[in-house]
Amino acid sequence: MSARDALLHLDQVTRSYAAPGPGGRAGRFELAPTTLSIEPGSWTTISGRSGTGKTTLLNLLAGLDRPDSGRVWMFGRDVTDVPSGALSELRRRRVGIVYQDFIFLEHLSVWQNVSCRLVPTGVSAGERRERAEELLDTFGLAHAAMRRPRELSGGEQQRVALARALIDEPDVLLADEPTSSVDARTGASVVSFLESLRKKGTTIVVISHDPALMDPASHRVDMDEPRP
Amino acid sequence: MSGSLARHGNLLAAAAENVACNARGYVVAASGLILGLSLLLSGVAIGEGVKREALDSVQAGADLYCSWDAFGRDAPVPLARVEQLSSIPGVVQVVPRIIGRARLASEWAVLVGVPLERLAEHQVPVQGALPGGPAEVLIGAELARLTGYSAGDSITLEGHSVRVFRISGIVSSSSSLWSAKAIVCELEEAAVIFGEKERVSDACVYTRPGYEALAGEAIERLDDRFRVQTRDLVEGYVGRGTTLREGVFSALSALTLVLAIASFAVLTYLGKSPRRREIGLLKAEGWSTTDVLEMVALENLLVSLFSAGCALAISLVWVRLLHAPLIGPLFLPELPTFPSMRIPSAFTPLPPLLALIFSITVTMAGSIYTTWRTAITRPVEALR
Repeated sequence: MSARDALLHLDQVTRSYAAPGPGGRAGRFELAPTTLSIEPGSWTTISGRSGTGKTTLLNLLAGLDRPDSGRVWMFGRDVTDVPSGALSELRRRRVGIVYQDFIFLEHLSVWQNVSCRLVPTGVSAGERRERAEELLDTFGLAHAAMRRPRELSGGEQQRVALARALIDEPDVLLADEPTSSVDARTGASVVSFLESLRKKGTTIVVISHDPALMDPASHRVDMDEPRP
Repeated sequence: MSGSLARHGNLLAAAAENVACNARGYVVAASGLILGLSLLLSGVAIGEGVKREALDSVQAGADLYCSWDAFGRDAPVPLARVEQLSSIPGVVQVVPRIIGRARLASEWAVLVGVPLERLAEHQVPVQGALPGGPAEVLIGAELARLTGYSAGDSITLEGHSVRVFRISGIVSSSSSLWSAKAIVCELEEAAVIFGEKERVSDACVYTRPGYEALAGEAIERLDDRFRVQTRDLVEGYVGRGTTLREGVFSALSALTLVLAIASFAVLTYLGKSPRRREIGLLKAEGWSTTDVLEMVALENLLVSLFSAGCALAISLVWVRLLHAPLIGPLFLPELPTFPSMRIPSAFTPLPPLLALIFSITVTMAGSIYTTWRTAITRPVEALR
């Protein structure tokens, strides 16, 4: 599949930055040249050992980071050199992200966190709250709408993060370990929800070692294997 | 509501939420600013009030003030010369005055000797009565408070001679500041106390409208040792005097505000770590740099409104209710550190407006640049 036809496409991207090495010593992470295409409507699961660059790859796919070399394509457009404002706009309209450590605005309530990307779009507070509560209800969190994120358990926080990523019905969902903090039952419901999303046409990219998230994948990327 | 307006409304609501949630941090960061602005507003209000009151006194006073020249300086005028002024064409009234310093109990006071029949013409607000004869005096409200005297008490004034008077009334504290520590007595009695029966401090000359300049020239022709000051000239002195004090005070306030900018910048910078992550998240969620900057600018606007409002409220309480402790004496050196009397003040709309603009400038300078720097970094770095 060509870069133009792919929903997201990385072409021989590399990325290196300072990172703690073994034993906490100063070290350097280096992502070897990687090419990856995400097809519309597909489910891609990225797996691999710790430190192989899974999250770095996801950040590059989301436009949260820029490669040292190589090209990044989003929705048929080369975005390697586009200004950060244009990338933000693309993300807001078409990309939902679940971060590895969730990352919430701690001073805001759960529903405000879930709907925060809608603030600059001019959607009224009433409508934002309604949409957030509807989504929270889907994840069994209707009771938590008015609470602060830190008051919730890890599993609940993970579902809030998922709800936040889906608030504006994105074309693609990028999720870093979306079932790592939930119990098996909740994990199964998350997988089932993602499958239903995919059936509706949402493209799914997840980082996970969870077999439940590997099985439905139409593509699997093992970061431990040599890159093409 | 249009989409653009709704967007601004949403960002304003988000800014208000942020300010409310971080109120304690903002109050700490803005405290230096509030202090500086309070000082500035208080100083400007007192300076303006003192100037207005002084100018009102000048306006209600004589058309010409005549003193005597001795060795190139102001000196008392021979009484015989003062009596000649009444004959100058255009002059309708001449009021000789003796103004000096006298001690009442442990307090220094300004002793003013004037023909007492003139007092009734000036509608002086008095608790008690105007002096009914040369053995009675009026004293200012602050002097009465400090010495514990009240209407009906007897006082002794000692100078060249010792005189005993009865206090007929207290000049109201709502009256002019200049009367607060004054003792007003009959001209001849003041002359006896100071041992100066042939001379007076100066003479207030009232003329017919339009005759001020002509009368002034005629007085100087009468004797070139007369020093004549017109009302305009006195107004100029008053204006320059208060403006100079206001200027010195404003410079000190400006210094405080410069320190406030520095402290605000440092404190908001110290608070930037959690904000860096917050801004990174907003950018990752699709907020544009403009959205982030607008929200932070609106937060600053709200903090500025709060700071300027607090400063104005503190100034009003400080000057109007507490009588400007500590700063009052900077404008009126005769005041104690903690005055108990009314301090003249005028709160005009311009200083609070300037305070608001200054406040906005300080808060923006303290945060917009750091926010912009964070907003343009890669979200992944801001989120680390």
